[in-house]
Amino acid sequence: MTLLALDTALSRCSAAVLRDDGSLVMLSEELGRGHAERLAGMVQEVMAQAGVAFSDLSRIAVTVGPGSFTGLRVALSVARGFAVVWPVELVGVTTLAAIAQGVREAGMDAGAQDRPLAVALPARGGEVYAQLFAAGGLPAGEPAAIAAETFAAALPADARLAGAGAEALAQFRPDLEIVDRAAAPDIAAVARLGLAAPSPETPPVPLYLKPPDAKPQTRFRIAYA
Amino acid sequence: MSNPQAGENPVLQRKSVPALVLGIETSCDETAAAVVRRKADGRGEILSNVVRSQIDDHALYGGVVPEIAARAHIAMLDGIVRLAMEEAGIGFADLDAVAATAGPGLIGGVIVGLMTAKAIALAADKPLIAVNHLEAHALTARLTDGVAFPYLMLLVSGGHTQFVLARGVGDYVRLGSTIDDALGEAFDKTAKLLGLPYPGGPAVEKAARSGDGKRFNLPRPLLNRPGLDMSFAGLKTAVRVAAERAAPVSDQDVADLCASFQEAAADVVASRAKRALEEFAQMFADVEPVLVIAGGVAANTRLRQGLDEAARATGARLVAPPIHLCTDNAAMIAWAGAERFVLGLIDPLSVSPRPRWPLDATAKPMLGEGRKGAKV
Repeated sequence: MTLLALDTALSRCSAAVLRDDGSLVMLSEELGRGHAERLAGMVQEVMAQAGVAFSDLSRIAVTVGPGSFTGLRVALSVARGFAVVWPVELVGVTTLAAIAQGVREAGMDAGAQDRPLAVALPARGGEVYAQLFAAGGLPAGEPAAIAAETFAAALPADARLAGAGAEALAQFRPDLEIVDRAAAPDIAAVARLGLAAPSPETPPVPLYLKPPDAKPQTRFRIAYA
Repeated sequence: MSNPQAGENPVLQRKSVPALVLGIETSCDETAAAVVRRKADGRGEILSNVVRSQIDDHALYGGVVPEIAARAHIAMLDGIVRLAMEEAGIGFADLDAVAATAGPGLIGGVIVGLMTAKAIALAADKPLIAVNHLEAHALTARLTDGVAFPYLMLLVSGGHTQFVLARGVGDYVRLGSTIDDALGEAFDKTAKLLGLPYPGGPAVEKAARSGDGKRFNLPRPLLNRPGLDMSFAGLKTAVRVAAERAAPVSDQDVADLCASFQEAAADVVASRAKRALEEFAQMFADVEPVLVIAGGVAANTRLRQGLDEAARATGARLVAPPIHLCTDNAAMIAWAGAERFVLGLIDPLSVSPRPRWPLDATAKPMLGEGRKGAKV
């Protein structure tokens, strides 16, 4: 299987090609903004470097969030657009799972197999996007947008913290160790999670975790007789 | 090199080439894809035109909510593109180019459409064309009626109200514009005030049918000023003041308010249209003056009647494309893409979405200009 991985959900803009034999070609830039301008060219570059054509791809892995609503739609639109033209499988990977995978892969956490890992990213309004992963890496809960204090309070005593929102959790749980402060996933981790995922039955959809910021209208309306 | 001159002029070389273009539109609350062919003789043919309106998604809010719109676009667009290709009966290899609205409009939606188009262009190895949504409205009359340059266009929608002189593809002069609310927006706000459903245009027009348009004396802002600019914010406020005086209102009061509002709006637009056509006649003495209308408010019967009269008074021809091509659609995007493609006007995959993108780069910015969707 040859897989293309894309991520624009957070501050990085990344693309990678991963082959069955584990060989990986990746490009990843800390952009902040400009993902919509950069991503297509980046895909061209990694595919050229890896020497693969669209007809060689069997799967595309894309981060679906949580993250910037607009940002995550950049890569998801591109992935879904590719799949309109070529018969490729689309696999969604969450940013939280990819960061957790990255922490394990980086080996910065020798005991990670034995201990839970809480991954958190900053969300607006004093909340974090967060999820707990059990020892061994499987999810121990659903991803959620939640008050940092509430999420932190429920964490087991042997959990460790990762992600750009880890600091917010540590404020309420100074007993827990921060092992990583990644603000965006490592695209290699996205690619490997995508490769390992089972064949999807439906195309990936955004994982917003928050409703649109809109209120039903309550504005002035004239009184009727 | 056998014919260096031909090589130096790709524009003339390509003008007589047919073009088959996929168009994508996601700049406001319609998710749309279409396939259009521009024949070698310049005539157009719509092979498919799929539009999915989000009106129901926004009705509760009385206007378009940008994030709700963007979420609906990404959920629907790939399926709508597939449907448009199927209905056209073509494959991606048959296309000459892929076009998408790159602005102006709501950024979240524009990004979904433009990125989808970039992906299709890259994966199918076709040129990308980033289309200005306003230019697509301006060029629609060439698709439907084969109108030749130069001509006048009145774009009147929920986001725009402007007179544009179309001199050529990519060559527009804004002659006048609303200085505050778009007319469609004024219709929406009037409907909201009077408790009528969203979208306000059809609701106000329907209520106005049984109303007396002379009962309330509403202002015609800027009517006696020179130039072609318009203003609708004051009219909207006057409706509110009149409604408050009449409150509590009966259904007949509401009908009369709607009719009076519509009369005032149509008067303003018609008088400006007449003046615009007079200016056009001075600029192009040898050209038959043509006024093309576009935008959702072009569906309003009273407005059309006023424009008809203005055209007749100035000896001009009024061209009104069918209403489904006046409101937002992707056939106009594909057509604008085809018009640009045959002139060699293609864009790199790095092209930016442009939430604000005036047609006439030299015109001074106006409040509300280049912005779509109700400002909720």
